[in-house]
Amino acid sequence: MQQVHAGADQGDNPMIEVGRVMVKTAGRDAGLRGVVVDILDERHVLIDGQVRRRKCNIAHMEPLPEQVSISKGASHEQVREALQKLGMEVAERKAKPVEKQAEAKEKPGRKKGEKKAVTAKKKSTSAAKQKAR
Amino acid sequence: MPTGRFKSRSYRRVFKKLPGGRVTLHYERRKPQHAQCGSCGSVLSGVPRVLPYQMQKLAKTARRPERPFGGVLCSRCMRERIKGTIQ
Repeated sequence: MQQVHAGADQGDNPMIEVGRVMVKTAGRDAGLRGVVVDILDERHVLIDGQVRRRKCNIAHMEPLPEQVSISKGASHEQVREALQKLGMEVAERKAKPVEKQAEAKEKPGRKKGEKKAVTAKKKSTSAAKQKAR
Repeated sequence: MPTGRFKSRSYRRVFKKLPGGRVTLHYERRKPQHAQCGSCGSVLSGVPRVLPYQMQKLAKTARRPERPFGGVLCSRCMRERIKGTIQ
């Protein structure tokens, strides 16, 4: 069942332009929508939106009829607002939670402390028993 | 005599050479079939062909490709399906 992949060679596709809404058709972000933010060379573009902001081969995406008005090299926030006007929800990208990570690191330590406290109690009880004997 | 379950061929026979030079017969479970694409039936790459209990030991990311329909459809059929939903 060998199928020839259509659209593999889109060297100078007129659909590829800054502001064009695309659907990724390959990889982890396949099925997600994004906007062309910059054209890097005849084969690669920078896309952003529901997909992660990254360089992509145009053979790995499908253009949609929709277009948004953004400037070349627009920020993620600008792209997000433009896509929301079209009715496409873009999840807010959170900065890496540094404090939360620190808390998470502390948590197991606390648990260990609790365990230690419990074992200490047990030891004390066993010691008490031994004393009673 | 081997026990009853080893007499049927549902177990694979493996000749193991022992450190002393003696060769013994070990019985092992057969490997499952290759994972196949649900659409075209081609063999899926990126899905290891190991026994279910060994599969459980693997990381989730090692069990199937990290993309929509990963481990169910081949990349080509996944691409066709996504294109189909667009138009």
